[in-house]
Amino acid sequence: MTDTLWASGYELYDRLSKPYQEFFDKLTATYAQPGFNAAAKDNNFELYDKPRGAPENIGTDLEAIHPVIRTNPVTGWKSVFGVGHHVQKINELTEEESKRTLDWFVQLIVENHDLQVRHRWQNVNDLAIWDNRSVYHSATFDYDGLGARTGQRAVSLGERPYFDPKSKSRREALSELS
Amino acid sequence: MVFFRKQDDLDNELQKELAQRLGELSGKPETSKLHIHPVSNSGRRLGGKDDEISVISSEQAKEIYKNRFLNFNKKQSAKGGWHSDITFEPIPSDYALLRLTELPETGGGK
Repeated sequence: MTDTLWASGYELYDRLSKPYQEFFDKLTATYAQPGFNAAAKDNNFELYDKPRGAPENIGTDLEAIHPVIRTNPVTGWKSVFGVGHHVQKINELTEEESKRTLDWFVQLIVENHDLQVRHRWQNVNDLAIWDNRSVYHSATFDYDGLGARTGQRAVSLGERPYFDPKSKSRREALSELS
Repeated sequence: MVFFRKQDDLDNELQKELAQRLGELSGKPETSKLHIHPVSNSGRRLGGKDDEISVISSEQAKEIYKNRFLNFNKKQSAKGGWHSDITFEPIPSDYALLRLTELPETGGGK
């Protein structure tokens, strides 16, 4: 017990049809986490408002506009970046369309175990390394009542997210190699 | 996504260096360093001493998030847990390294 799951944003993008891919390629989303402001208020502490590892990451307004589809600069592949609980809305869609789309992205993860990997933490000092640009993850609270779990996480900051219209999906790029 | 078991020679300082160098060697901007989390930093009771390490603590999370992100009562859906780290930042993460330092008593690995 005490597992963490990861899922591939590259593969999520490859599960979409070409017309859907081209549609989402053009869109941007608002990424935000007002829950942290609320948690700080509830518990009487202040959010860290000085630069958080990069001069651009400053203040207590935890919000940014990024593309929905992101190009990974190392692989050159596209992935669905607008997934999960830090995404508020897809900017160019109606509220209803945005909500359904964001829910559907998560549904595509949970209904496709073949794009997930599940890791069981077994020892102290087990280490996981992942690329937040193209991979999602979720904790599993299967250890509730069995004791505390603590981890040390170091998070490197990368580039400002971008979408390169010339970039390819993973399957598209790999099929051209073979 | 890679896993390395039992990295007993790794401490927080080395782990930070590895994170930073992975980013640097793959071409990240010079102004991008290690993230300081707006909540999970040294200001929290179980937040550790180093702002460049986010201590991921189940006990701390229960204390400050209660029913906000975590619902420990009769959970019937866990899909809300999926995310990529800190995408609310203008400059979000490339690589993240998580090392567990305290495990629950499960009998699983012991």
